[in-house]
Amino acid sequence: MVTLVTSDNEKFTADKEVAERSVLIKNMLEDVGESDQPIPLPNVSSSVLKKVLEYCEHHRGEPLPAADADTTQDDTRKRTTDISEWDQKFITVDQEMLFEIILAANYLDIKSLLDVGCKTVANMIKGKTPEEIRKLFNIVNDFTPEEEAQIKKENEWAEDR
Amino acid sequence: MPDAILCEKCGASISTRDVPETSRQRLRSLYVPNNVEASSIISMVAEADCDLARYEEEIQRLEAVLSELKKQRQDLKLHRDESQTLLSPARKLPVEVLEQVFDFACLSDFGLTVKQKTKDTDTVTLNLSQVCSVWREIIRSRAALWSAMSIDLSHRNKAESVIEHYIALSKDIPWNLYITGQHEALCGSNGLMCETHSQTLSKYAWKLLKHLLEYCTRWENLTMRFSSTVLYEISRLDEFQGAEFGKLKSLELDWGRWFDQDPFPTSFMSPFSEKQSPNLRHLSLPNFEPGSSSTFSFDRLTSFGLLEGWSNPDVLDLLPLCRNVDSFTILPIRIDESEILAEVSPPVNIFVSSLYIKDGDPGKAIKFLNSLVAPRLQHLSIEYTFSDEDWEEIFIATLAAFLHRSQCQLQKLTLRLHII
Repeated sequence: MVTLVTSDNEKFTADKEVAERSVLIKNMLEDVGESDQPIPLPNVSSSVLKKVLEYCEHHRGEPLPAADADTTQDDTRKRTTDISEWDQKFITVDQEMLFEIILAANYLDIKSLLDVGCKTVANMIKGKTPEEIRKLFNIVNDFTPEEEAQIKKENEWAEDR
Repeated sequence: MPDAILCEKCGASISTRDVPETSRQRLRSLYVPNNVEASSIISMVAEADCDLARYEEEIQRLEAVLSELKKQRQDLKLHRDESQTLLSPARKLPVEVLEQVFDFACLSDFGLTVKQKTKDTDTVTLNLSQVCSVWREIIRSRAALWSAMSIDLSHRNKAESVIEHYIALSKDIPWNLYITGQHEALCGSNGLMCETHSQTLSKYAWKLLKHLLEYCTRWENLTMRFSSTVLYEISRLDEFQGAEFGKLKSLELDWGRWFDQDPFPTSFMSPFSEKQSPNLRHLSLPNFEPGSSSTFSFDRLTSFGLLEGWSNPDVLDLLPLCRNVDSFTILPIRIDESEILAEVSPPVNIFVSSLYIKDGDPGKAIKFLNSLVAPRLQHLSIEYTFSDEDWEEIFIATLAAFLHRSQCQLQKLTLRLHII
């Protein structure tokens, strides 16, 4: 078993096999060797770690992506945003939690969870206008007048729609 | 009437007087004021003019105050929104994660999908580049996000400028290109309305196709959906025949065979020869007729798909040519039932590791499996719909015999069989 300590000082214990779905934790465990020392996770809160461990537990035993997974151009060319039924249910959380899970997955280096989070955000974005995206994520239009003029020009083709 | 407080902030006020009521009755009669009354009225009008001027002055001042208040409100709202944006969860994502989100959003389908109607046209990448300055900078610097385009050449809008925008920002990144012509609703042999490909292209569509062909050295994944008539016309273009598809890895063609009985134009495959398309490894065709592809070297392919089946001669004649094909997808159609259970001796040896058999004619699928040995098979996926249980039983028995005969180390078998 591995003990993990969150940013709000809560302790979680998890099977090594489950915790090691995080490459960060796996590397830390390899570095410290056999030890009962708790692992501090200063960038992850207890509510988020609970969700992350739920994900890792469900996907326990599944093959991890190879450490030298191809990150060349081909990797970025064809992407699918399909999400399995369980993952979809798991990631149905409020926006704050969704982004926290993504950040945690990025920090803990859990690629499959990071992918689920990024795909979810991508699916939220697709088919929306810039204004709708701004509203969805509470982003302000911060373009300069010059940029605004350029954007207006880029959209001229659609003015008759 | 009490004094009207105009603005608590500025404290200004205006004293109003009781306005004497003009007798309506007098107005509606032949009444004419006498000299004394006229003098009184003149004096009252003069005072009223003076008051009206003061009102005007006050209203102008109030309007200026109101305008200033509105501006202050707008500035405060903007400041509030901007401050709140700083707390937006989306801002917490580091650039490398945002890039992944954008990759999924723009590359899962196409970053640009030009449809016939403007309202159906989808400009995912362009939209994302117009959300905020940070997103704009990231997206405009990622050429790959602008390189996946699906274009209906028969579109009737002003999409050429947006296509040019994508071409410019994709820089030198190879394209994932899907091009098609106009679809038409036709009545199929089963009486149902189906979509098929138009038999012609407009002048504008030809111009656009020729323009896209100028960038043929950047085409990496190409899907073309046209009628065989249009494909024939394309094959006659000098720009097409002389094209060098140096980066092309994957080619998927659909010429609407189901409704279009014209033969596949032989010359269409010429530019996809080893010389002009040296990197082509993945090919997907609706069907296959050896005569049409006699100059095509199948042995360089690693994956091959026949997505609408095949006609005579049998696909089994083709398989020995596909020596290096690792993944084979087939949708078997059209067969004389008397041939179904006829044994093929000896069975054809194929060396694929993945075999996908899609819904089609069950008899053809049975004959196909009966004719094969696949000793290296690791992944087998079959999706089928049967019209009666007898077919399903024969199919299962054939499948078992095929696997036994192949003696393969099957790792994954996916069967999706339905009876209707």
